Amino acid sequence: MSPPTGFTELYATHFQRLATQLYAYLGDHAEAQDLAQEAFCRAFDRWHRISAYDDPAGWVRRVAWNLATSRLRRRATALRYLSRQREEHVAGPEPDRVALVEALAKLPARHRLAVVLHHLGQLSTAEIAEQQGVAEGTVRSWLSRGRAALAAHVSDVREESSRA
Amino acid sequence: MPEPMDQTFADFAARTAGTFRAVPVEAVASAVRRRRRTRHGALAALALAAIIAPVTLLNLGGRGETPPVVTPSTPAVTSPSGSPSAAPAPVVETRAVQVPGVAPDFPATVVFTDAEHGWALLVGCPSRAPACDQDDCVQAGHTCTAVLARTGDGGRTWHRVTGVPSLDGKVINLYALDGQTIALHLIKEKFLLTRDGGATFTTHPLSAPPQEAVLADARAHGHEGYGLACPGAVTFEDGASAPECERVQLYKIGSGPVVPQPQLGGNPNRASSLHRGLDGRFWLLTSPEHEGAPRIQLSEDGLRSWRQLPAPAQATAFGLVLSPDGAEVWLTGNTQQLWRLVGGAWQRQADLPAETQPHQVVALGGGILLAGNPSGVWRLQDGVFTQVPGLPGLGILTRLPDGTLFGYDDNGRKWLSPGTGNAADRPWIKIF
Repeated sequence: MSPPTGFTELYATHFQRLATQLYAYLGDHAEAQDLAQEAFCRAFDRWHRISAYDDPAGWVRRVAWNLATSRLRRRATALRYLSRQREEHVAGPEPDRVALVEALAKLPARHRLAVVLHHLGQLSTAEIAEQQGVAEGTVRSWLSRGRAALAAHVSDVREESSRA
Repeated sequence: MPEPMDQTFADFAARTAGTFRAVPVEAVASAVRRRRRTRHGALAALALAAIIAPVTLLNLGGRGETPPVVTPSTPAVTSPSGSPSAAPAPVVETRAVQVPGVAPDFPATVVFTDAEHGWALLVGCPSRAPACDQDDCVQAGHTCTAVLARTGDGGRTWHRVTGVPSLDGKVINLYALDGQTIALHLIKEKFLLTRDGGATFTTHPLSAPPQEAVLADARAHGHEGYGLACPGAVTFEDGASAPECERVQLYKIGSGPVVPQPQLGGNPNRASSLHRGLDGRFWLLTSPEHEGAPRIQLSEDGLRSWRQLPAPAQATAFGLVLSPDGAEVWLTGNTQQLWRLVGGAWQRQADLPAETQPHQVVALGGGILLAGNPSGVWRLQDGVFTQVPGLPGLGILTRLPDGTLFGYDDNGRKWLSPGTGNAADRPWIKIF
């Protein structure tokens, strides 16, 4: 089974970006890696159909966030297999990155989701609403409240980053 | 120059992305091949996971998804098991959103405007077949079929709305004002509005949303007839974040900004929430820009003047909740604190259940609150939160204008509790 046309490029372009968003949301580096990997596995499995979509990357993102949100991690055969395929150890996050993750962790989950998808995923409130199946006004409320609560922490995070 | 928050996230992304390393794409291919060989086993495991999820989530939460605990300085939060004063389980009736001619597996988005009148948008995708797992069915974009339906008997029967143009493949937000009036926001396209129960629809451009949509949104958020927005903003912008501005304005829908204006912050860093009580009072809660207490403003004379109320010393923003008659005023903090305004002073109450947010709290009057969290629905009475038996965790819990309670759980089922009052055994209807 060779990689289908288009998948390799999508995978290379979006994997790290998606895993970074999931890490900001979940606060768990290893879980973020696993869930992003799982989402791309599913995309590969259905690539003949997904490649015809207008936004295959959006499909992968949606799947990954569904997994993260529901926390129904599918520790299935593919994941266990993949976990043995990591060729090298990758350094974990540094303290300055952890500071933002900790600040995000203080937000309610939905507010955190909106903030991460908007600021890291670069999604509009309409796109987040579409992904989450809620009204756009609801997302605006989550985002507004999340940003307001996070604002107090941002200066601390930036100070910590500049020292790092 | 990017704002500090954007820069912070950009720095974070730049420093973090490289710490993730995708396995080689050939390994993905091998993993998928292995998965295909074990498909049946995997699907069985998934089915089991779906069944046990509500239970296991309690243990997986990690960040506050634990049962509420007793705090020494506040009254207790208890669970029904072992509590001698546990309330009887309410009667729960089940009603299905079944629309004649529509396949029963079409997932429905449901909104109610009162105990009897509701609207449902049912969306079915070609991929929603037995072989399709849940995540495929979320996608499918333009290939999905959408059906609009309505009920006038509390969800016992549903009728397809036939006068609506094709909604297939659209991404739609519903703004229901009453049983006759609903605006459909077709994202990135237009608005559709009916005032006659769906017999006819008018089309509105995104730049001029129908006033009914704005009114419905205001009603749903507890500030009937009024709103907060940046100057000149179109309330229902499309495909972009809410406009940002130094100072939002309080406006009357259909009229424009009110005079005098209360002290309002900018959007979004000093967000405000507006609450209109049935006693005629208006409340404004404005988040602090940085650490500190929220600003609480009150108008008791029909918006002719505003005065500021001191916030609880320990409060760091959050939500304000009014009883049906507007007489009881509650304030929620962002670490489960709860206060009630008594004689002009904020009195600390029992802590809210873990993970409860303001949009999951309704005041029933008589000093009684209902609060949803991932574990269930909790009732505050006589200073103690007690779990209401038989109800799931509700992600949203709101009160409709006629007093009906409406919420939905994490599995997408809607919960309706008709009637008024604060009885512990008020009936609930599960709609799916």
